[in-house]
Amino acid sequence: MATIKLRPAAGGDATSVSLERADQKHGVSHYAVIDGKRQPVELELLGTGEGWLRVGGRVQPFFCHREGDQLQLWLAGRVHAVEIVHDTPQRASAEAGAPRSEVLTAPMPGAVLRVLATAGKRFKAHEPLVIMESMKMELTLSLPHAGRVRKVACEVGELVELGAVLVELEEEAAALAAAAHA
Amino acid sequence: MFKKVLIANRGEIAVRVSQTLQEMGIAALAVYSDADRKALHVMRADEAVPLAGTAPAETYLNQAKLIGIARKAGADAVHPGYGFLSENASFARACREAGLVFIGPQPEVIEAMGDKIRAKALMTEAGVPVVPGWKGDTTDAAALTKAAAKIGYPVLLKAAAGGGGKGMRIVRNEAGLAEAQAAAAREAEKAFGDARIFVEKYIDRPRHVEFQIFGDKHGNCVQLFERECSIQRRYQKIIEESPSPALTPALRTAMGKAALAAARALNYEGAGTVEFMLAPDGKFYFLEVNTRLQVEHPVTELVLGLDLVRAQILVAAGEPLPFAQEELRQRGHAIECRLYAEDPARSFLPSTGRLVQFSTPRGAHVRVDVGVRRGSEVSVHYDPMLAKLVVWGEDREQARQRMAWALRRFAVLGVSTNIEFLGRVVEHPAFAAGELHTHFLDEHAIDLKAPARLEAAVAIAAGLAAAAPAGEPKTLATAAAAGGPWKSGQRWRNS
Repeated sequence: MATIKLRPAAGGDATSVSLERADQKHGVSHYAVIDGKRQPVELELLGTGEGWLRVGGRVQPFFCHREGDQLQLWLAGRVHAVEIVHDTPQRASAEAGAPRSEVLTAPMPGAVLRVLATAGKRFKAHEPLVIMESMKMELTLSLPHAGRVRKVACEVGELVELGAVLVELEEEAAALAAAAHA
Repeated sequence: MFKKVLIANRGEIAVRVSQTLQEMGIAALAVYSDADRKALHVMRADEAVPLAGTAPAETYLNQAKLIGIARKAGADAVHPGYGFLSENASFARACREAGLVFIGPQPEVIEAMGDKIRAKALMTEAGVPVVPGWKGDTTDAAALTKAAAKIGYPVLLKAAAGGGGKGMRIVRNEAGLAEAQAAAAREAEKAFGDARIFVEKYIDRPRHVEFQIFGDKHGNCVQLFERECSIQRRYQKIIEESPSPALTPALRTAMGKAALAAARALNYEGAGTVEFMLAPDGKFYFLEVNTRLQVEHPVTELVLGLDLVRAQILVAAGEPLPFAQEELRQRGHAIECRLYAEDPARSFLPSTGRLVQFSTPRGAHVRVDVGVRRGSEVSVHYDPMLAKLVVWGEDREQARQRMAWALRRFAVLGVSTNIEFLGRVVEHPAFAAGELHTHFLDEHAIDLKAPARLEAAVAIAAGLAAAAPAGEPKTLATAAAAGGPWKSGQRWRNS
């Protein structure tokens, strides 16, 4: 039986899901098997990214949007970012929860106001690395983890596009992960 | 009455103004930038003219283009909405010179209130309480240091030409003053082309309470009670309500009197707002006058049962105010949430993209003012506000519960939004208790962590979505028939 593995995109535990068609009796269209637990459900995808499902006596509409292996799903007032997990790891960091960055990128188009990062510098989590100015606001850019700067890829006064690489990091995280797998 | 009015704006406010114009039998003339060719405000208007270009400076801020279009199309008046040219005295004058009615107060009033220092001086004269501060302004750090010492720390640095929190810095001691001044001046120079900074006493945990004022060309002035707008991020309001849970009848009367004194001193015409800071000790201080319609005007409309845009149009056309002070009564409670395309988890950075889903809640006493719809593109060029969700209830608690209900039914996919964040705020015990102040969001960490495991319903829906090829109507049965992943006994691989 086909099974799909899913995980919160922000990191966390994978969940395996599979559906079997039922015989459409008594409001049961399918049986869902979630992490080995089988339960009757009724569900329908209406196209245009809309659908509804009945699980345990509650009928809920949902909206979904897929781009590659990333799913955005609105259900019960919350937006869930879900990732489709493949059994062959796509990245060394796949099982490590939140992946570490290998670069610091510009979160918006704007101008580089100050650069606090220097090549070789070790930085702590949330330590300011670059200050940008965008939409007339100053934005202090940092990373949620510690690391080391390999190369500064921007200069003061430069106008950068959304997603432009500002700072390249030593791939310590990747190196560590590779060592762990060896 | 006017035959045709040009709306010099975009997004939800252009849509909102269109509605009232059309109800009054006046043609709504929209303008649009290249990026807004298919925008909702264009579709809702009676006529739409392109403003070649995309950047605000060459489109919605281009006075010559706007006036040219208005004249050519035979419009009698211009409604500036809020933002863009709404508080631009030279535009108000240019309209007048071109024989167009500017729907807003007199250019002299816009000018006087646009200069925060002059505004404070005028209000002091009118007997309105103002924050202790230094009335000079300077780019000279030494003079600022002296002034700050005299007022006493903490102090607040503000851009003289400022607004929207740009060029603002809190300084708690002298050591931090020089750097804060440099940063504030930089921001002010960029935002307003004017690096002048002034300094005033900083009040901890204040509430932001503002009063709606209205005047006509016949010397009538009224105040339409308060709105509390204390829930802010980056000095920008995100939740507003009326009445304010903080006002006793006595305080409401005192603040209303001060707002009316401000309106009278300016001989105010049209819609305006007098903003006050309300300190925890019940003292209130004048902040500024906004010489335009406010984003949060719907909460006043719902509590008073009025259409403020209609009143703006009547007054601009020379008619007397359609309401008298003694007829105005607050009834029930209204709350507004501003829905932004932004990511609360990443310090509220704007989020751009296409709205692949945009489903708004509908129900009793729920109003949604929208500027976008499904398929709209949210770009970096303009303000990332998507919609205003406004609810009315018989009392605050009912309105609050209704807002929570509506937020849980507002579905947007394609960009990150603050909807869930707003829901957390509205359901927070301190919000429910009405304990609001402008640092509410810094003080109460709103938890937005995603669960580390998918709930069953989420897993099922996501599994279904993952299995179905995108973009065509599919039930599971047809997905299976098409040889999809759910076909029993078949190993499925995502290619």
